[in-house]
Amino acid sequence: MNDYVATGQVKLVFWPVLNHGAASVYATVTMECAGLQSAELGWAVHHSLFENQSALWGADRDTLVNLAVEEGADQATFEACYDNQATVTHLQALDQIRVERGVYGQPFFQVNGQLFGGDAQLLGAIDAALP
Amino acid sequence: MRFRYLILLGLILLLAACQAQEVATVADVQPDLVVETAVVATDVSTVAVTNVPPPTATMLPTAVVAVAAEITPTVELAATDVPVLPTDEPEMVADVVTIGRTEEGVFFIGAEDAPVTVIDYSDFL
Repeated sequence: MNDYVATGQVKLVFWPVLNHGAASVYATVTMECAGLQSAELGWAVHHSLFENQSALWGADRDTLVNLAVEEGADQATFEACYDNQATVTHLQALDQIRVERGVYGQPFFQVNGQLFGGDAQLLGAIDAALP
Repeated sequence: MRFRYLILLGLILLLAACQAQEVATVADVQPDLVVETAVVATDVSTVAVTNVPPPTATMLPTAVVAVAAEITPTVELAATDVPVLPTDEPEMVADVVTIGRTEEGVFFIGAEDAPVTVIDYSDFL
C-alpha cells in the first residue's frame, strides 16, 4: 500500500470505526486531536495506535496523552482537544455515516466506491482500478 | 683360427656398442618427460615448478585434486521461483503526495489527483 501511495497511484483515506465503545472513541480522539495540530502528526499517531493496539483496551487518558506527546504533539493543545466534547460528537457523526454506507465491521474498504469487507481483495481491487 | 677370433671379437664389440646406445637414448628421453610433467603441473596448480620429480604417491592427491578442479564443469545455478525485481524501482514522489483532511473531516495521505481512492474503514481496537 505504501508503494501505491508513494507513487501517486492511490489516495488513502482513514475513516474511523467506533465499534468497541469508549476505548474505540478515545483512541480515535487521540488521532483526531493530533491530526488537528498537523495531519502528518495525525498519521504518526495513527501508526502508533495500531502498533500498540493490545494496550488500547485498558488505556486511560494519561496513556493516550503520553502516546500523542511522544509523537510530537503539543500537550496543552492536545489535552484541550481531547477533553472537548465537540471532538467526540464529530467522530460519532463520522461513525454514523459509515453505518449508512453499509460498513458494519472492520476493516472495510472502498476502492473507487466499491465496498468490500476484509483486506483479501484489497490489492486486487486497487490493481483493477488503476488505469 | 686367429681370423675367427678376430671376427668373434668384432661381433662382441659391436654388440656392446649397440647396448650403450640404447641406454643413452633412454637417458635422453627422461629429461623430456620431466619437463612435460612440469608443464602439466603449472597448468593445473600453483605449485612452483622446479625440478619436478616423477609422480609419487604423496603427490598424487594434490595432482588429482588440481586436475579435478580443472575438469569440473561449471555448474549453472538452477532457476528459482524468486521473481526478478524490476530494475526501475518506484520512487517516492514527494511533490505528489500530500497529507490532509477531506471535506468530511477525515484524514488522507496521497496524491490529490490519484486515480484510485481507497477508504480504509478501521477501528483502532
